Amino acid sequence: MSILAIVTAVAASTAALAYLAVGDAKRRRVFGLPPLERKAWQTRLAIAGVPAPAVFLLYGGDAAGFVVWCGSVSVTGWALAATPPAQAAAMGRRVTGGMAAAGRILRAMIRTARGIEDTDADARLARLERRVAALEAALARPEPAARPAAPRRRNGSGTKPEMPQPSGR
Amino acid sequence: MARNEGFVFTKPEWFEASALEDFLVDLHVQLYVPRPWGLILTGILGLSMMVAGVTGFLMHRHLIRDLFVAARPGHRLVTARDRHVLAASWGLLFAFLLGFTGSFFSFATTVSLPLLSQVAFGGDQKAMRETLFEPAVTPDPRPADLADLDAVIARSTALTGTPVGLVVVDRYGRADARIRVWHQPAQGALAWVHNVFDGADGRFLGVKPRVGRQPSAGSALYELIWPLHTGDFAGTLSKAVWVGLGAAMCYVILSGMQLWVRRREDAALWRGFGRAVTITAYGLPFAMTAAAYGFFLSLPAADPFYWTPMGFVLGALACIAVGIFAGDGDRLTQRFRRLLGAACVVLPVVRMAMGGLGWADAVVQGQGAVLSFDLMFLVLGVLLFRWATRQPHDRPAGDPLPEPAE
Repeated sequence: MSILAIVTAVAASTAALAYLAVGDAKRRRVFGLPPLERKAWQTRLAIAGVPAPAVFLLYGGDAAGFVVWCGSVSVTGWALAATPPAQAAAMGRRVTGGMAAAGRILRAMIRTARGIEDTDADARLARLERRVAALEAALARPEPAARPAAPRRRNGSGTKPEMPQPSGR
Repeated sequence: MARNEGFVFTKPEWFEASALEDFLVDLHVQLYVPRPWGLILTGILGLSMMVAGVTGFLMHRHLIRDLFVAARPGHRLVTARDRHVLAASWGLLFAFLLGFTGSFFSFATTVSLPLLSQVAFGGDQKAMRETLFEPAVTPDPRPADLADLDAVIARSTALTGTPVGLVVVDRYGRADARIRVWHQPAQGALAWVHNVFDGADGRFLGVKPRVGRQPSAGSALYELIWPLHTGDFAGTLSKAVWVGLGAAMCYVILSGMQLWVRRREDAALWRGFGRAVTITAYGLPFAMTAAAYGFFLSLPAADPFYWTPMGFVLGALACIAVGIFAGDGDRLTQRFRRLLGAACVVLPVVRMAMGGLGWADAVVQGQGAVLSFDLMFLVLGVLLFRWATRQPHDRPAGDPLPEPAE
């Protein structure tokens, strides 16, 4: 049994589950998100993509891997579904930002190792300086007369529920 | 290896490597209640878990439709219901599996096998054990020296290719002795391998099925029960996944009980039951950690087989006292989280202070479990502290209670 094969299978199934979770109609409705337009074949393909890696594990005679896959997908699926869309998006941004930062650090390290000057950094600094100058100029302009602000409605006053109550059955 | 004479099972310190392991296994298998009552109790609880899984499946009509619906925002009853339903839906298969296999083990020695011995062996349990679980042998009571165990284990390992988990010698010192060597499952397999050797001359006699002497469907199913219950078949990976599944099951049970109580919290009796649920939810892990403290602190000078269960009892009593006298609702929960967090953070320090393996030595000696457990306790402790410092979420005054959960 190859641990790499099991981890890959679990990651592939989790990715398919994540795709399904993002487009799930009820999940989007509950969290007030607009429906995501998807073709039926795309959803069907994602549904087929969930158990497909397990079929490959079984085909390779890896019964232990299959059982580990079943357990792992139960846990990862639960974790995916239990994360609200806003939190999932924030986590996604953090992961993407982290990966981008890691990429920048890696590129800088490669450049340093090769002895190449960081021309990108110079250009970026110049852009930032121009932007700061523009913002300072905007701040120096006289402000328009302030309009009276409308009274803010207090949220969570206790009389208005955050979401519509379920009808029950 | 220490040599002890007499009936070994009367003294756990003769056959158990660790008092803590002995206690935790006993607690899991039979709730530290004497046999057979403890086993019957855990068997019934396992069956209840299985029934809860089946009824949950039948009751929840929108299982597939709600599979991706996270808990709705807010702190209303429907939010708690969403959380419970979601965890239960994803853990449904394993609730059934863990419940069934657990109750199978509990009832095997207390109900099933005694019944089988009555029906098929005239009540002779020894004959039943020999027929079902031991290799075939022609009785020969002549005295004989045991074959070289090292050579037998080396040959068995060469034949199977996986590490040895257990060695059993039947009829030690006789010409008809048998050496049984249990190996961890082969690559891609779930079942442990059971090699049998002649005890007198060390000959390999073959691989014995778990039940009977010929391979059968029943034996193959029996062989699956242990790995499916414990996750002990693919090393750390499978065990880690089973830890996650076990934690999910605990969450489902606790959230279900909290939901039940919350729907009835207008009644004082149910509020009291809700407090008991909170005390149990935090008290059990705290008492188990206290058992570990009892074990580590008694290692240098006292009897760990006495102080480990005593640590559990003292920890449980402390939690009950906190639960009764220290506030209620969110404040009580936060106190419990701080208490458990502190116990988790300090435990690795106490372990090392009492002469336990240091991290550097653990890495050098390949003892990954030591480092993993220490780190897990530290992370868990920090998370519990962070969780405890969150603002308690008071329900808005206008939120109607009770609210239909279905």
